[in-house]
Amino acid sequence: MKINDCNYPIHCITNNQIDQLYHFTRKHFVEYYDLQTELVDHLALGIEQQWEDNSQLSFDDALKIEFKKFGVYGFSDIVEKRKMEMQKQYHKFVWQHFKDFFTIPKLFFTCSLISILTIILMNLSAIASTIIMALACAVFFAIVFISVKKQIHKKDNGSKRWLMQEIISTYGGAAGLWFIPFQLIFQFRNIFDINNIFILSFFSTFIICWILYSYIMMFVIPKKAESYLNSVYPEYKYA
Amino acid sequence: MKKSTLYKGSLQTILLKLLQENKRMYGYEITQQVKKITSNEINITEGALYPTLHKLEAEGFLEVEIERVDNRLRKYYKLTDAGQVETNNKVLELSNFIKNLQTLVRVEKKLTI
Repeated sequence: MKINDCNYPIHCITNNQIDQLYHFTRKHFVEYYDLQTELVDHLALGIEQQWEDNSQLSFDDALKIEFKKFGVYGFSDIVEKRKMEMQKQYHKFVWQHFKDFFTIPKLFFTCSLISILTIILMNLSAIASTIIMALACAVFFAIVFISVKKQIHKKDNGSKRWLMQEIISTYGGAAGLWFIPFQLIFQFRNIFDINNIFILSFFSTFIICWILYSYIMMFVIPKKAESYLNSVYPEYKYA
Repeated sequence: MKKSTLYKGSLQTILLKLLQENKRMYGYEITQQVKKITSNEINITEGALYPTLHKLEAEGFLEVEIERVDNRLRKYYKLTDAGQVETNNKVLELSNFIKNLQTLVRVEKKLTI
């Protein structure tokens, strides 16, 4: 269904005006090309429709009228909800990879890691276990922090920003996850005293799962970023 | 009760049904088509439309096609197989809801006589 007849150039949005619309969406806090493109097309169609009814209307006035239709919050609601949906999709990707570690043959590898960690914890003193675990978490956290900071401070060289690409770079906003082992170790450091194989196995399983999840977010997904972006964005090939 | 409140819960069903009846549509086209079919009774706001479309896309009920039209890119939405099933479910849900509501309203009317 064709809404507007663009046979007459005077009623059509020009290339320059398209650029102005992209700039307008950026100015109103739409930073991601995927969302900008959809909104630019919508605004352009609305403006062209207005010109069908009143060809004397200026581009700026027509744009103001179209933008008002998005309500008092403008584009912000659309952006926030899009971010939420993309993050959910990202974690679905991570979860799919995570499940692989619990299917044959990777299951043997996972079980080996859990067993090794359990044995180590059983043979170390409680204090040594606590210190080693806390140090390991601190080093890991430092690596993640530096890596994420680097991504955030990457200068925008004018190239298009894709929401999913940013989510992949910042590990899905999972900053809260990194603190869990710290909390566990200091809340439950007494379990190292108990030396019960079942409790230590449970603890080891949790830590290994956390490591695997982090490994997937930091290394596996970024390696496959291009293919994920192509699957999420049909428009990626036009960029 | 405001008219918009009555229609709020039905937006997903409206979008899915519309896409079932049309091969594929883009956002602006959807708003115009709804206005046309309902003689301007229902006006889907942009602030409600795009979050709903994105949610349905993320849930796997819609897929997206991109085409270069005039001097810009246009994003078309169409139903996936899962979307077809979901549309039938949602339409059935809504029909049952309307039937129940009509029964209630009829009962109310009887009481006032």
